[in-house]
Amino acid sequence: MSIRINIKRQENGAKEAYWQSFEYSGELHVSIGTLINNLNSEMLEKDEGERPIRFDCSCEQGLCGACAMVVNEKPVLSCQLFCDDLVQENNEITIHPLSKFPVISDLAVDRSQMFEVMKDMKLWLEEPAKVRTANLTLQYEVSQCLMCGSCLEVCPNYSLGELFTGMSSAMSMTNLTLLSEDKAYKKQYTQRVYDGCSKSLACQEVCPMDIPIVEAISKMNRVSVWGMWNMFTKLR
Amino acid sequence: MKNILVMGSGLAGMTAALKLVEEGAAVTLVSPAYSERAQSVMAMGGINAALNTKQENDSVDEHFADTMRGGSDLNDPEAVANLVQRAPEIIRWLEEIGVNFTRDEKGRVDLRNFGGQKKKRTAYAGARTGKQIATAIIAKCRKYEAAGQIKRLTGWRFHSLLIEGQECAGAVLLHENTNELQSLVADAVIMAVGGPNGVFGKTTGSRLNDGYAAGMLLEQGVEFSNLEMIQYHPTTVHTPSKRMLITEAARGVGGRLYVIREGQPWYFMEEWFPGYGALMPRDVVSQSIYKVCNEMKLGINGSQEVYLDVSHLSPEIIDVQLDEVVSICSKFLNVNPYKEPIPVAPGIHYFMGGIKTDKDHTTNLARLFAAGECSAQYHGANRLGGNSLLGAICGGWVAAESSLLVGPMDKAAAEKIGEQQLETANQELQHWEKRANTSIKGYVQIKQELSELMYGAMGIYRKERQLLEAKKRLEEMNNDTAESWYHHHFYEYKTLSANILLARGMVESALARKESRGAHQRIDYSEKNDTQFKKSTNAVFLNNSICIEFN
Ligand SMILES: Cc1cc2nc3c(=O)[nH]c(=O)nc-3n(C[C@H](O)[C@H](O)[C@H](O)COP(=O)(O)OP(=O)(O)OC[C@H]3O[C@@H](n4cnc5c(N)ncnc54)[C@H](O)[C@@H]3O)c2cc1C
Ligand code: FES
Repeated sequence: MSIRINIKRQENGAKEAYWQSFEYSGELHVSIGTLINNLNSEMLEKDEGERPIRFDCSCEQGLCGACAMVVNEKPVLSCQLFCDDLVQENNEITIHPLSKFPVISDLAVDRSQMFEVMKDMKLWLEEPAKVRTANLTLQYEVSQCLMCGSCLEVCPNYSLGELFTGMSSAMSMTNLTLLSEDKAYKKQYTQRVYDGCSKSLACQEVCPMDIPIVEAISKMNRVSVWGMWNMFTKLR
Repeated sequence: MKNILVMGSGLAGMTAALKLVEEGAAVTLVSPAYSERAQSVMAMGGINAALNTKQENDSVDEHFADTMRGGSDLNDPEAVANLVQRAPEIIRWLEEIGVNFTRDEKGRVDLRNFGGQKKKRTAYAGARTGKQIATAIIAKCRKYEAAGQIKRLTGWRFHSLLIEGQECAGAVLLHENTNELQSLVADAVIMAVGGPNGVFGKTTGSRLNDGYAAGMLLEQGVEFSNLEMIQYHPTTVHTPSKRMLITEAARGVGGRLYVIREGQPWYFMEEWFPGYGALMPRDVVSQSIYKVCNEMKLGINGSQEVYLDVSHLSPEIIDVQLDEVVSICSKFLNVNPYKEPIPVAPGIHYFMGGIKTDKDHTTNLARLFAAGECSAQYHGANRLGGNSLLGAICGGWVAAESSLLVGPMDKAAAEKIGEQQLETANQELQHWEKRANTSIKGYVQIKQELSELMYGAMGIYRKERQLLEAKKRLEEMNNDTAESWYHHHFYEYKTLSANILLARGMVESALARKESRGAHQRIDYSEKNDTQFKKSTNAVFLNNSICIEFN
């Protein structure tokens, strides 16, 4: 069986983006990442000077977040999604880079902003961690965040450079809040997450690590926003 | 204030950076991608420390003895003594910075069994120890990044060392996407670039660890030790993209290895090694699987695979401790480990050999240090599961401490070397750009051939003839690369010749060691020979050839 792969390409940030289609008739129980590698090998075999498709990858087993991209309109880790699962209804696969970040080349994007904002928000522990075994499971889950950017792709409120920083930073804030008695994270949370989040919860659907985002933000809402509000009403 | 350049931002690079800034140095931390993408996050099983909380009378001395025994005495005993001594302190530090270790019923860091060690000594964080440790250390680094004390250069690769006489004076860096080059002068350089997976193509590790840096360092005169010591993890599974690890924890919690003999499951490890069973050190398990499949021809359907069975364990244990195993099996193999055995075979997993360092992590070049998987000191001929995360963190600390002791440098001379080498690097780049239209056929073939050649000659069992053939072929390939050209990516183009050189170092080291020890098993020299070879191989590149000595 031959399938059609459409890939949005762009040599670099300064060049125009374009779509390119490939016919593929190789093995289908392969991940999208392997599929792209196979397309590249075919291209290199032919040796017609065509530029291989660039994308980021490192672990190739869903542990590092490098390879996130949008496949058939859904952000995924390309090393974790299999072609045969996709082509059951439709013989076509469409791939484009995460759209909220500047393109470096083809499917590789510059996610540095996600990391930079966490510095601005001072997301680190100032004091030794407090161990409360009751919190351990949630801490563990939110610490699994790969910083892949999938949640930001589907978020109706996130765009690069705005105040709202989205769930990747919120997961770190949750971990730090649970590990400490520091109020600073809660304040950051209120300003940079709570106030901008319209609770579409699209993020929960796409998180490749199945992090319980809803549980994490409910917890944060309880301890930061409503906690403060309670205090405020008491004072009044 | 000292200015230190750290190459690589996995656990070794980050802990070095942290130690350095805490002591008041300024750090530049270079890596092709953020730390979240480093191989360190892939570690699942755990990290060793003799915390002795399981009423088993464990001790630092026993951790020392197991590590030396596992490494067949090629490990540096002074370095190992420091490693095991510091291990409990490292776990306490990790707790303090917020690593979410799994806890026992008393709320203490839980410990479990890992290969090559009879005592429960491996601390772990669910099924994702490396990731959980990395998350905490990344947050810790962030504080100093915000303060400007750690400057991250992400997207950049080590290109070459600046060498002035017998001293390292900094490095040239290459930006992978833009081909921009820059030279940075530093009081010291710490290499923490991880293992050279790229030489073999498919391993259990990360694509980012392509082996370029090690090959380049060898070319520049840095000494390497025990390059022949390559660990085959006994339980990996084949997938189209890579070999995937089934964690040793699967055997640690009671998983069993078997093949079918005369219609019945035969638990060969338990029969051959009562006491340890499937938890023998990795080299022994891999060799046993080799024997079962090749000498006894009992592999699954005549293949190199045997069964790993966890289906007799309680579903709760599998849920909690082996969730990653479940996910790999269901996604990539269509196997349900709650019910069925998993077909596994040995695959390349860890490089014990690397940049030669002493217990202080100094190399043969002044002002150059190395830590983590790219370096060699702690693991000898075979590393114990759980000792490499420990080695990466401890190594980062020690390398940082040692690098702070270097004396003042001749800045002007260093700057001059920096300019010269940057110029040379730029010329090479221009030359590459000019030849952009040459055919790349040779390149693709050579890359494939390299991987096949290395898997063949440097397998679990090695033979003189095959090694000699590989040596000859690698030398020819080295000449061929001068004719082949990869015009799509300058860094990838450079990586090929660096890989071939490092491969030559590995093959020559394996040829020179005419005995069997740890991960290095020779069919033609099947015995351990302590009189001649209880020493490390030392590989240097001199006058266009690799010289091997033992010391
Ligand atoms: C699947 C798997 C499971 C494992 N499980 C365990 C375990 O349970 N316990 C244990 O102790 N060990 C385990 N290990 C081994 C352990 O993870 C590694 O040995 C350890 O993390 C190495 O750390 P490191 O800092 O030396 O290197 P890495 O984490 O590999 O980091 C290398 C860094 O160098 C960078 N780099 C690469 N090339 C260049 C270049 N040219 N220039 C600049 N930077 C460069 C990389 O991007 C990265 O930042 C496991 C390994 C694998 C693959
Ligand atoms: S390559 Fe690491 S998550 Fe896909």
